[in-house]
Amino acid sequence: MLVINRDSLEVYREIMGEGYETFIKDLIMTFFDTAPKLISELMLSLESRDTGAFVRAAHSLKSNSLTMGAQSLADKASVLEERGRSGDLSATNDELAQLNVLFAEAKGELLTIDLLQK
Amino acid sequence: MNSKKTRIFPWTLLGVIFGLFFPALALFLEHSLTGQALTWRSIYENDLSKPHFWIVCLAPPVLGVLFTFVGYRERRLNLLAQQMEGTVRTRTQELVEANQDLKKKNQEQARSEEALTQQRDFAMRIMTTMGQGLVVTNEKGIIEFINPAATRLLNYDAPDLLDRPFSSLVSERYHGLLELDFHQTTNTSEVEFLNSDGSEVPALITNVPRLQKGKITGIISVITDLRDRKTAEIQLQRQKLYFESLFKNNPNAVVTLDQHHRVVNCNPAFVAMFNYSLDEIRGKNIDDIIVPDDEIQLAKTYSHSIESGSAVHAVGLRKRKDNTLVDVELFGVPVLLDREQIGIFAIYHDITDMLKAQQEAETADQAKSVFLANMSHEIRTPLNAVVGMTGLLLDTSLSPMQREYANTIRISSDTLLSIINNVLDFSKIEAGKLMLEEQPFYLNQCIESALDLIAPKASEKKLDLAYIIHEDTPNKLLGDITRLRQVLVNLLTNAVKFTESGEVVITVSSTKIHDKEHQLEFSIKDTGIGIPSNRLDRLFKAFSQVDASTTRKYGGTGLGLTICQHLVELMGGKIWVESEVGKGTTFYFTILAETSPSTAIIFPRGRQPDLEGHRVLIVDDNETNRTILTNQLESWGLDVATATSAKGALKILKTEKDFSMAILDMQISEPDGISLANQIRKESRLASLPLIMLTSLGSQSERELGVDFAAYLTKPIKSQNLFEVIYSVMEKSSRGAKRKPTSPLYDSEMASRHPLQILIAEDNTINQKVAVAILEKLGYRPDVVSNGLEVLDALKRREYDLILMDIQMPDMDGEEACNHIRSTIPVAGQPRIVALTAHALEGDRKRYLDAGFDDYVSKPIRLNELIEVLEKDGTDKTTK
Repeated sequence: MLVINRDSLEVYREIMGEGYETFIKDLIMTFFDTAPKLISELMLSLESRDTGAFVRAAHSLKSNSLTMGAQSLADKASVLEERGRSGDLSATNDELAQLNVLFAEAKGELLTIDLLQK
Repeated sequence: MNSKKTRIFPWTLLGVIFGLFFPALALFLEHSLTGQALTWRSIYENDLSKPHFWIVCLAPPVLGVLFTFVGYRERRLNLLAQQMEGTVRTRTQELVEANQDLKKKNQEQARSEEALTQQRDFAMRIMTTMGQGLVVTNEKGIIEFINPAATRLLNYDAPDLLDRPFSSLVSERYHGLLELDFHQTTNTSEVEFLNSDGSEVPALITNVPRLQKGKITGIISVITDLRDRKTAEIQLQRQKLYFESLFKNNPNAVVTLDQHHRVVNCNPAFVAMFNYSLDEIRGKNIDDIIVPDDEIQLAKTYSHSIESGSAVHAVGLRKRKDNTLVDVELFGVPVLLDREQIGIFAIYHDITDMLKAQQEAETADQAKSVFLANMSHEIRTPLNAVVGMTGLLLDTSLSPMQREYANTIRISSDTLLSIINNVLDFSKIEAGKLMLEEQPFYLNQCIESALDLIAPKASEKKLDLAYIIHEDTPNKLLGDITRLRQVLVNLLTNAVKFTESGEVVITVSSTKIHDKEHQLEFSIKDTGIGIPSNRLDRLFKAFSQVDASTTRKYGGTGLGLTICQHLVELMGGKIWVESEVGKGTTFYFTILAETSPSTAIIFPRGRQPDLEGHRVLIVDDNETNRTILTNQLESWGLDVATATSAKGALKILKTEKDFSMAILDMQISEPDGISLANQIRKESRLASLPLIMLTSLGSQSERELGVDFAAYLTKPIKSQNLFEVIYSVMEKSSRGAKRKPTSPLYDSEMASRHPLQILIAEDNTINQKVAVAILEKLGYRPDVVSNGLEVLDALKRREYDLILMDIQMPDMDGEEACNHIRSTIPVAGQPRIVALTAHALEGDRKRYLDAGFDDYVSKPIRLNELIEVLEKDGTDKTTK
């Protein structure tokens, strides 16, 4: 199983038609830009115990990861979101480190992704 | 009786008359003698006194009387005679009759005698020829008659047996049977005769008492030879024992049932399997004994099947005496005799071992799949990292030598990745694990993307790429676009690899098989080095290359074509090749595909009214390209002229008029396309002729060379692109009003059909981009804000028909913003607010509706959901 679930990106193929490649590339670049920011946001809000910001960041990260097809990253973000919602911010340090690794893997695959192939 | 009475009177008269003779005579005599004359007077005078006269006159009465007597006598005589005649006649009749009777009797007698003789002969013949022996004895038991069959049976000559006692022919123990039975009944019994050589002959004798005048005078014995029957009996017995032993020795549990499914018999294997003895289960219903509770229902259906005459073959569980279960394969067969079902035959085969083996096989199979999947992941992950990192490295500033090293790593890792993909695909195919997808896709897109992949390499070698899809080929299909593309890319890669100059052309045609099923035939034709005919058969074999030298020169794993073959075959087709060394190679393959109902992108086909009648000049030295372009443009209704060189092109343009545009291939030889373009521009009449540049990928630099081209087309030419380009060129140059293409492209007209001012409120950049991209594709130009406060701001500046509101936003979230809008803005100006949410469960819908939203759309945004929501907007609006 690859890290990136191609189907999530494939859905845009039909809509975007010819502009699919450009669109996805743009999306990928945006992802590379925003995801690290969201992860930092998570870390900061964890330190400052800002539950609201934590949940929002986790939610956004989950949403973006799902759009890009980074399933594992999305799952992890979802777990953190739930934790945040339940008010429990304690045991998440290791998991934040994991997020980084998961993001790196997703990025690696997205960098070499062949958009013209499944 | 003669009724005629004899008349008396004639006699009397006769007598009288006769009597009268005498007087007459007397008178006469007298008169004659006397000489007197005979007169009455004389008579009276003379005669009457004479007495003799009176005496003579007595004569008539006397004679009369006399004759009367005679008459009477006559009468009586006649009567007598008549009577006699009558009697005689009667008597004669009687005699005749009697005679006839006698004759008849004689005949009958003769006949019965004959019949009797015949019967006797017949009886004799029967007795002589009958197959059964016949012995007739007298009251003393002595043989009086014995027929040939009997003598044959006993192997004696008849004379030897006559006058012997019957009992002497039989073994002692049967003597009682041969005694005279005064009760006159018939009896049949089995005996053994002693024949001439002393051996015993088994026979059946039927004894009938011989009756004569009510007395028994002996026995008639019919003898049937039983030797054959005895032999047959023995054989039958042996067969019976044979089948019984089959039943007994059958290693499978076998049981026979009556038509009510009650046990009649079972074999030792059955006893061993189920631990019941035959006595324990005889007469009991088989289902009651060995079927476990949860299989009863099923067992009943089996019973019904058998009752209706079919055989049952199934797998199931049965229980033993100790209630343990055993997996069995069972057979149930009705037993028919003369078309009537007299019972049932059931076999149980223990499949515990087989199931275990099957399970083990499945586990092994599963392990293999897991291994393959893991391998895939394990290998690709670090490789992705290598490729990715190399990419990142190349983005940094490197010295030329470092860049070269990094490039080499990049290329090698790309190659490694493709090799690994091939190997993994191959193993998947070998393990039978390769599954094809079934999704709708566009044939032209598949082909175009395959061509795009090899376009760089092709342009490096200055090869022309092109494709032709035949008119009737369906474009929207159901299938696996990736695998089809894989095959095409593989074949194209080979074609490009082995072609030094010329072109590579893909052609597609189709044949309709069914309603929606088509067979598509692809050909990939190149003008390459070709393949020697003696190597053709090795092409598709795994790991083989045409020859070792080509591997060294051209690389490759040798798996590509094998994989292609497998994929093609999975898609229901065949692959084959034709080639001529030095001329080129053509690979052909077919696939089966179903057409998918075309809903979205409509491929511009058929005559286009806006293009019809316009003239186009095509300048290209490649015949295939010219053909493709000409066919396509003509099918849209354009008038096409072609030229193969700059010189020819100029000639045509100078002499013929009314060209709407010209398509110039950049790769034509001296002068090249650019020069031609310049030359065209020099002609005053042609100065404003729209020119379309046809170029191969990677030759971007030409774009900067001064000539104002109306548009650019890259090879391989895509119909969609061609259409758009020509259309837009036509549009620009036409002075009339902007006309829409007659075949509306996908949904991009929605915004004009259904205009809406849309605001997107979403704090997530990626989601923003997706939403905007989709809406723009539909023709809308939405505004974007990233939180609730900004929404309210935006609403102050202008009116919106629709707000797509994300729930989770910083500073003010979607619900709060919605509330605010609902409570502050007057009803007439209320926008439709649609929630964008990641939680889209049924219960949530009510929540959002209660919170003031009109609808919701789940994230990530799906096109069809969005369209639905947008369309609802129009029908709901009453005020605006």
